[in-house]
Amino acid sequence: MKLEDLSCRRRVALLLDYLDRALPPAESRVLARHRRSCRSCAELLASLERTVRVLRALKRRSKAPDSARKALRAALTRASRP
Amino acid sequence: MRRRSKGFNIIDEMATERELIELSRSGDAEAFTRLIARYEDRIFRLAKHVCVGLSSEADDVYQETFLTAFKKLRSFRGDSELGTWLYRIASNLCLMRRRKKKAEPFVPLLDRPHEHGDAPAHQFRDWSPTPEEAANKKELLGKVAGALAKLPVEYRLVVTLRDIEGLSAEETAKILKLSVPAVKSRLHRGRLFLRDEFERAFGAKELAR
Repeated sequence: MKLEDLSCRRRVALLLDYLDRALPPAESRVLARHRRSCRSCAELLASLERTVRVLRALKRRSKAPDSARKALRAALTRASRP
Repeated sequence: MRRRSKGFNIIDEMATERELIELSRSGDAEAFTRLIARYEDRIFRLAKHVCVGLSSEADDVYQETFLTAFKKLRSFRGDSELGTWLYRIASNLCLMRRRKKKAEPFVPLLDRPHEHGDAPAHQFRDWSPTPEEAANKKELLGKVAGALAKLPVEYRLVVTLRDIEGLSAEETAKILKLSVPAVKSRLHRGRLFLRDEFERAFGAKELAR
């Protein structure tokens, strides 16, 4: 597979799957090699990796607060009454 | 041996989930509370990030999701996983509320051919939270929330499910009833949009070249 021979759309799909580690090993190696030699793709990927890192950090920081849990339980008890 | 006991735990959990679903269907709120325990934080996060900037909306979506599920549990056939079904209810509630409240039409983000790796039309910059910004978590979260709020809600849902919740493209497609390519396309455009917003929010510095 040569990246240069692919259409723009196919290339962006590959970059996206590479970023999400969803590519088969052989294609992933081609992308990794390409990344080392193509500054444009390397910068695009690095900027998207930073974006995803910031977003992933949000998962660790939010849990349902006790007030919301209590309100839900009260609403469920009301809903279960005939 | 370890693997075996882990497998049994999963089977036990599934059996417990089925039992709890049956009890909940007969109106047992206590059983339903146990059933949803592992999904509560996930649904709360989805509501919070999709209804970003409207905290009372997020609380309402969180509560309404589980109340709707409790009332409609009889129609849950078990074809999809319970988590997928709950995410779908919450996603629909988020969409309905955002559209009603803000009369938000679906505005597709435009294709950006230069982001296909052909030409460096985007001026790449080095941005990331400074140590001071990282230390001030409240401010950092505020900036990220501000960027998310500017993203059209259809993209925000995909970004939240994929990048915050960590679901696969296939799971996200099932929840939102989209094709996998549509999920990937919205995710890519959403990330590009947020990257540009983060650049601005975190005070972009030109890359040392």
